[in-house]
Amino acid sequence: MSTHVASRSVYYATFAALLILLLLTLLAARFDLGRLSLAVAMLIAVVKAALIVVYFMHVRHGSSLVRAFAAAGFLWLAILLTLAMADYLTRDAATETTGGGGALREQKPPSVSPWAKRSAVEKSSRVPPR
Amino acid sequence: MWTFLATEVLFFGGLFAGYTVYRYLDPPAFATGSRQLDVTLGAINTGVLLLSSLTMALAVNSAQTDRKKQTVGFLAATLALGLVFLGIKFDEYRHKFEDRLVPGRNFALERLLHARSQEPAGVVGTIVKLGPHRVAIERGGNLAVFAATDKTRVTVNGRAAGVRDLAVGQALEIVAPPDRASADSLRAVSPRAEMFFSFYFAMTGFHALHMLIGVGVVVVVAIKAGRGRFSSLYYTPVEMTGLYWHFVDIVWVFLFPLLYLIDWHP
Repeated sequence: MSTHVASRSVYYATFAALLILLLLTLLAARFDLGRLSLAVAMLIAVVKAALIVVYFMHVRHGSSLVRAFAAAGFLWLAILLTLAMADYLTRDAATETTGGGGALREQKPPSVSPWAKRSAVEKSSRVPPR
Repeated sequence: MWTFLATEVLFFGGLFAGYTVYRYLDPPAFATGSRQLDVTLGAINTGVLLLSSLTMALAVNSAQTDRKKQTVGFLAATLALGLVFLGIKFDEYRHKFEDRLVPGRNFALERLLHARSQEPAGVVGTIVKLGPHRVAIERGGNLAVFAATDKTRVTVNGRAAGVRDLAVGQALEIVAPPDRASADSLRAVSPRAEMFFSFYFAMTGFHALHMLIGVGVVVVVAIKAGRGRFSSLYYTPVEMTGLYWHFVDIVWVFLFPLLYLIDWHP
C-alpha cells in the first residue's frame, strides 16, 4: 500500500490522456492500415494500460515488491502468448506438406456493393441533350 | 492484492491467448463477426469505464486526505458509472439475442447477412422513360440511363442489380441481390464466425461478471466510508477496491479494439 498522496491534477491529466488515446484508436481503426492496424491498436491499448497502472494504480510510487508483482502477471502473460504463437506461426514452415495453421486462411471476399461508384456510372451514361 | 491481480491477468490471459490463436487461424471470420458489433456503444462504454476509473482514483485520494463526504460521493459516482456500463452491455447482449448471434443451435449469422443484402439499397430516382433495354431516371434535375435486362433487373457497373417492378412514374428502387460468389462466401464464413461470438460472449461475459462483483464491493466500501470507518491512517479497503476496479478497466481497454475494431467501416 502506497503512502504517497498524489495531486489530483495528475488524475485529471491521466484521464485526459486516456480519452485522447481512445479517440486515437478509433481514428486509427477507420483507416485501413492492413497488417499494421492490429499492431497500432495494441500499441495504443498497452499505452492506456500503462497509464492506468502507473498513475491510477499508484505503481509509480509503489514499493519494489508491488512493482515486481505488477510486472509478474504481464510477464507470464507475455510468455503464454509468445509460446502459443511460436507454435502456430511456424506451423506452415514446419509442415509444408500438410498445410498447417495457415490452411484455414482465406481471401477476403470482394466488396459486393455495386453502388460504390454510382455517380461515375451516371455521368458516363447520361442522356445526351436533344 | 497485486498477487491476486496477477492471477486475474492470467485468468483473462487464457482467454486472450485462445482469441489470438483462433483469430490467427481465421482472420476473415473474425472480421465478419466483429462487423456485427456496435462500435458506438462500445466506444461510449469505454469512455464510461475510463471516467469511472477517474472517479475511483479520486475516491481513494479523498480517503487518503480525510475527506469523508467526497470519498462517499466519488464511490457513488463510480457505482453509477459501473451500472451505466452494465446497462449498455445488457442492451448490446439483448440485440445479439434478437439477431440470433449467440453461438449454439440457433446461431443465424448467415440468415442475418442474407437478409441485410436483400434490403433496398435506396431509391435511385424517378423513372421517366422505359425502353425495351433501357431505363431513364431523373434525380435532382439530372437524367441517367441504365441498361435494363428485364423488368426486375438493371445493370450497374457491369453487375446485375435487382429492382422493384419497373414502371414509368415510379421510383427506381434498388434491391441489391447477393451475387453468387458472395452468397457462397456467406455460407462458408458464417459457421466459422460463430467462434468469434463464442470469444465475444466469454470475454465480455467474464468482464461483466467482474464488473458486477466490483459494483458489489464498491457498495460495501461506500457504506463503510459513510460510517466513517476510513481515515488517512487506514484506507486499505478503499485502495484495494480501486486497484480491482482499475484492473477491470484495463481488461476492457484491450477487449474494445480486439472485439469491436477488427474491420470497422462506419
